[in-house]
Amino acid sequence: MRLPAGVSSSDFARVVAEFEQAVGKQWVFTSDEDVDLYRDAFSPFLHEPEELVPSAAVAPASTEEVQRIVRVANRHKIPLYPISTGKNLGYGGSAPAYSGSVVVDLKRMNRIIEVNEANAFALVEPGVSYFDLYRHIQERRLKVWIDCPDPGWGSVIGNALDRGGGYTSANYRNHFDSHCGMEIVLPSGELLRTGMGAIPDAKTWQQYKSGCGPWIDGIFSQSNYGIVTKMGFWLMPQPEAYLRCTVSLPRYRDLEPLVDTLNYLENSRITSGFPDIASPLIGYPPIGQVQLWNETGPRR
Amino acid sequence: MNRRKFCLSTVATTISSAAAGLGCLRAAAQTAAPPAASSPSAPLYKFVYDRRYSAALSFGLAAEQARDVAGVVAIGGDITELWSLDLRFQWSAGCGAIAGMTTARTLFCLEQLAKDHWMRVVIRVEHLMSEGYEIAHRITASGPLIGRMGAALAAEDWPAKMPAALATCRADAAPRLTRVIGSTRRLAISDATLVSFVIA
Repeated sequence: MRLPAGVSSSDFARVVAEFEQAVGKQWVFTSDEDVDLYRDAFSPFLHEPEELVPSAAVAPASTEEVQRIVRVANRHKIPLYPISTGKNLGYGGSAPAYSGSVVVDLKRMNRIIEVNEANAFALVEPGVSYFDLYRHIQERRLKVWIDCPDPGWGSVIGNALDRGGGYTSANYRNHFDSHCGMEIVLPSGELLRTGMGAIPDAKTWQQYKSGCGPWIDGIFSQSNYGIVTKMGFWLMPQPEAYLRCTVSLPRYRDLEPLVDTLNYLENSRITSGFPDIASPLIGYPPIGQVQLWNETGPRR
Repeated sequence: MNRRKFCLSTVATTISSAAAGLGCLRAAAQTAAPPAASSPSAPLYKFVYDRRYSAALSFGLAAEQARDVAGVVAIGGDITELWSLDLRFQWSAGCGAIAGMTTARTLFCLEQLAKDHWMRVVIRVEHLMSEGYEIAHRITASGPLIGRMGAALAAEDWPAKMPAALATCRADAAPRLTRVIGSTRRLAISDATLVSFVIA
């Protein structure tokens, strides 16, 4: 059994026993075969001493179970690393940022609590993927669109917390910006609801993100200050029609005025689609050559 | 015989006994959460193979002869239909162990999707083209499962032997190991990225 830093095996065994009481024995994973599933197959340190590996994993099914886990971890000073589904690859994976952490795997919390067509929002749990939400909407023929990023199998909440982006309208493609209302389990085990969710039985939790008082949602993105267990998202009303356009530029120097024009059109809300600039001959420049591309332009 | 061949052949000849010995090393830790598909008694649901590769095609033709399997699916590198119209429902119901021979990319996608249902790759056999176009079969699985692969991979027509060998593989609690078995049968260059597997 791997151990968190500074924790003895006997102490960790007690922690594991308490986790088992919190969520049920079958949802606490400590064997190498189980814990290895959370390793990062793309890590440059795979199988090296520097590789970041968890000590265990625990999979709660409800917010209450998350609260129990956090209280146990807080009492014993065990580092936790929450993941939604661990598959927003390119943003983050299931391997912890601190070796020896216990992964809190939230994929059992996969309820789509509400999709409100009239007010165009959804309230979901961390285990809901973009595929899940898309299917839910399509099966019910709801006239709203999601904004899907590349990893469609990734969690909606996970992607937003990593400040991921998608490809549709400007109002929706920054996934954190288009959220409205969060429920968070704090390190103390207390529950925090942001925005209008702070008011008991509020009906407007997913409609007015400012709520009353300071807006603090941002500290829970790209951070580990709490475990987000619910999150609301604004959805795009399905348009009656949309038009996709292609602009062909014969010369490299036409790019600058094109970008200026696109900025104007988008900032003026004349268009809101995702501008995608590419060359049919060479495609996107590889990341390693972006600087060269910026300096000299494409190869001729 | 060069050093590489010596190493490969040594591993190949010792692997059976090593695997047999490891069979008694049952891990004390609990097995993964629930899935019925991981049960040793659960029948295999389907075979999957990539029709674009000759070795995988041999695998698929042999798989058609297998009994007690709901079907054999040929893909061309895209699993969208297989997953969205078929596997998703099986896996949601806690069943649907599959075996196959595809590219590593395809297996990566299947593995990611399977994880949502607490399923995993219980045996992974990477068929790696090595120097001189001979094959190194790199197996990652528990010792007992590795032991079941030796005869199939040593055969001249190893792709056709794989379905039967894989059909009996399910998750067990034994520690996972990686072993390499060398083969003298040449592999077409386009087959270099193939991998055989069981997801349960």
